[in-house]
Parts: sequence; structure tokens; C-alpha cells
Amino acid sequence: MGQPVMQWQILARDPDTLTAFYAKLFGWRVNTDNAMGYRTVDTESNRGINGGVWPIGPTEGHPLVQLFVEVHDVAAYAAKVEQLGGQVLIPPQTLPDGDQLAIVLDTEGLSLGLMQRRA
Amino acid sequence: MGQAFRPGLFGAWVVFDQTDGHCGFTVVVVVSYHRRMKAHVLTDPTPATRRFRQVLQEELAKRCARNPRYSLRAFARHLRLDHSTLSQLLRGRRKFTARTIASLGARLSLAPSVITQLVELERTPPESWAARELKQLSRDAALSLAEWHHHAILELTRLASFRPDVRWIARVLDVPVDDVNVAITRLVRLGLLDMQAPTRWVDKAGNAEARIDDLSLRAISALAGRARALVRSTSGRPAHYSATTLAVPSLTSRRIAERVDRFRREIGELLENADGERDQVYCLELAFFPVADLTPTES
Repeated sequence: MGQPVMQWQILARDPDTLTAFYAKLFGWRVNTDNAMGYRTVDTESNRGINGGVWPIGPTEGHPLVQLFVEVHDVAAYAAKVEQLGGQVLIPPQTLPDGDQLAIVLDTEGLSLGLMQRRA
Repeated sequence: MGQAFRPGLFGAWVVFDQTDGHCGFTVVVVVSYHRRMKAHVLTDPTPATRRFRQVLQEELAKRCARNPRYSLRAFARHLRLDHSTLSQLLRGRRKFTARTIASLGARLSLAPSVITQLVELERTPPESWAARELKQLSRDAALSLAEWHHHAILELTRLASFRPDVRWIARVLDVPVDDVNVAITRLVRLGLLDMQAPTRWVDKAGNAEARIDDLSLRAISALAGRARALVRSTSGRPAHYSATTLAVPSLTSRRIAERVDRFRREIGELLENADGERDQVYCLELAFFPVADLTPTES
């Protein structure tokens, strides 16, 4: 079955400016019509993957890009991350749309998302 | 067209910075949560070290889990205690005597050996328990949650009318959606908020409490501005906002701070024992700090 990379996410200090930038640059379409007010980004292409933008506060780290990997059991994979020397930053959460998500760090300190679509 | 997908969400960071300085003030700010005990399920892997207060809290939590309508008052009746006395015992405002432990332990059908152990444990210094209770919200965590809406979000989850929709939260708190999402990420990361199901967000702060003496003055200022705005816009709703500037003997300032703390706890107890469904979120802000720099200078 595999665990595919499903989307990218940019952590941004100024999400509005950033999404406007990419909309003008590539024509990407941004939609926030969801319970988390999440900026989904549609690249308007049949190839590649889509993404999203999430805000970060002014004192928290720096803007970066994350990848989201789809797994069949977020909690199990979060535990596996720790067994393998990684770290769980945000434990598994259930989003309003039913998807599950956790944020982890790999052994290089890079953060990535573990996600599971709602059944 | 791009492929269908759903939102990912949540940022991740490792470093928290404190950007605001101390500015020479000694600021006393209490960030606190007072919870119904049924939301505060304590767990301890070593029962032998559990204090009797924990035993009572756990028992109450179990009963509340079995029966959502079970209350502190019902538990007090079972224990043959006045409910305010039980509340004080549970919150650590009143000490357990050996006699009380024996009596209540018997009401809970604890074995005599367990009761003896609990009596002995009560005689040992409580530092470790107190430290464990307070460490739930570390100094860094408290600083990162300095802005008022973090706590307001947690409180909103306790309302029957709560909607796990950031747009709704942003509207009722009059805070930008992005600010709400930054706050939610912090709360989840710190383990203070748990999104357990699509329609169920749980405030996990429990009895978390942090006392910090260098909270951002910017945060205090923002909260004061929020209070002023709300007082203007919420006519008819009970509210109070006042500030007094006083000349204070240095030796008395500590006593005043202690009295303020006592007042805060009394409010918490009042809320804990209040009847009725929670349908509003208020902020109780208490601050006591010098506003003049009277440090002697060389002429």
C-alpha cells in the first residue's frame, strides 16, 4: 500500500501575503472554506501534489516547508517515530473534517506531518 | 485541475523565544484554571505515593465518568461532608487530618492498611506533589500562552454551545482566524488541548497553574485593552474592571499579593461549586506591581 507524500505545507508568518504571492506567481488557488480556516492551495494541475499554508507566531521558529505523509494509523506511526529516534511535536489529533494528524521531527530535526484520511 | 485533498494543518517549531523584556517591573500575574473535578482525572503509576487528595479526586472522576450528572455535592453527601469542605480538601486549601483520612477512607471502603499508608504519606512534606501539580504548565509554556485568547479558547471548549470551528471561535472572541490557529497549535503542542474527535475538543489543562513574575507587559496591555473594549460593548452583562494606584510599604506588598492570590482561589471555588450550565467565558485579571522606580540614585 505504501505511505505516500500527499501534500506540502508552508508555515508562514504572514500567510495572506504569502498566498497572494503564489497566486500571482503561479496562479495557484487558495480556499479557506473549512472549519479550521485552513488555506488549502490548489496548484490547478493534474500532476504533482497540492498543499496548504498554516500560520506561525512571531516568536516561534521560522517559516519552513513540511511534507505530509499518509499513513494508515497515525498513533502507531507517531510511536514508531520515537522508537526510531525521532520526536513527536504534536500528538495525534482529530481534525473537524475527521482526518487525523500528528507533527513529528525526524532524526535531522526536520518536521513532517503524519496524516490519515477519515474513514 | 489539481487532485482532491483535505487540509493538513499545524505548524511545528522547536524554539520558543521571549521577546519582551522585564522593564524593571515586578509583575504579579496569575494565569489559572479552575476545573470541575470530573475533568481532572489524575493518574499516578505508583499508588503507594498517591496522596489522599488524589485518591478522592480519582474516585470523584470515576463516578463522574460513570454518571455524567454526578456532582461534587453528590460525592460530598456520600462522604458525609459539607460540599464546601470537600471542595477545599480537593483543592488543597484544607489539610487532611489522620482522623479525616480514616473516616473518608472507610466511606470509600479502603483497606485499613491502605488508610494507614495514606495517613503516613500525608505526614511527609508535600513538595513533590505540589511540584508535580504545577509543572503541568511550565514557565515557558505560560509565557507562550501570555495572550488572553489562549485561555479563552480552552474555556470555550467547556461551553455546551462550543463549536469546533475556528471561524466560530474567531468570531466569538473577536480574534483573527490566524491568531486562533497559532494559539490552537500552541495549546495542542503543550498538551493543553486535545482534539479527540471531529466534534470534541477537550481542555486538558486540568488544574494547571503557573505563576510567573516576568510575564510580557505587552500581553497585560493587550488584555487590558480587550477588557476596556468588552466593557464598552457588553452592556447589561455583569462585568467589572478597575485599577487603583497606591503608595505601599514594601513590607506590606507581599501580604497584599498573598491576599490577591487568596481572592483568586475563592473565585475558583465559587465557580467550582456553581450550579448551572456554563454559557459564558470571562477573564479575571489580577495584577499588582510597582509603577514607580524609587531606587535611590547617586547625586
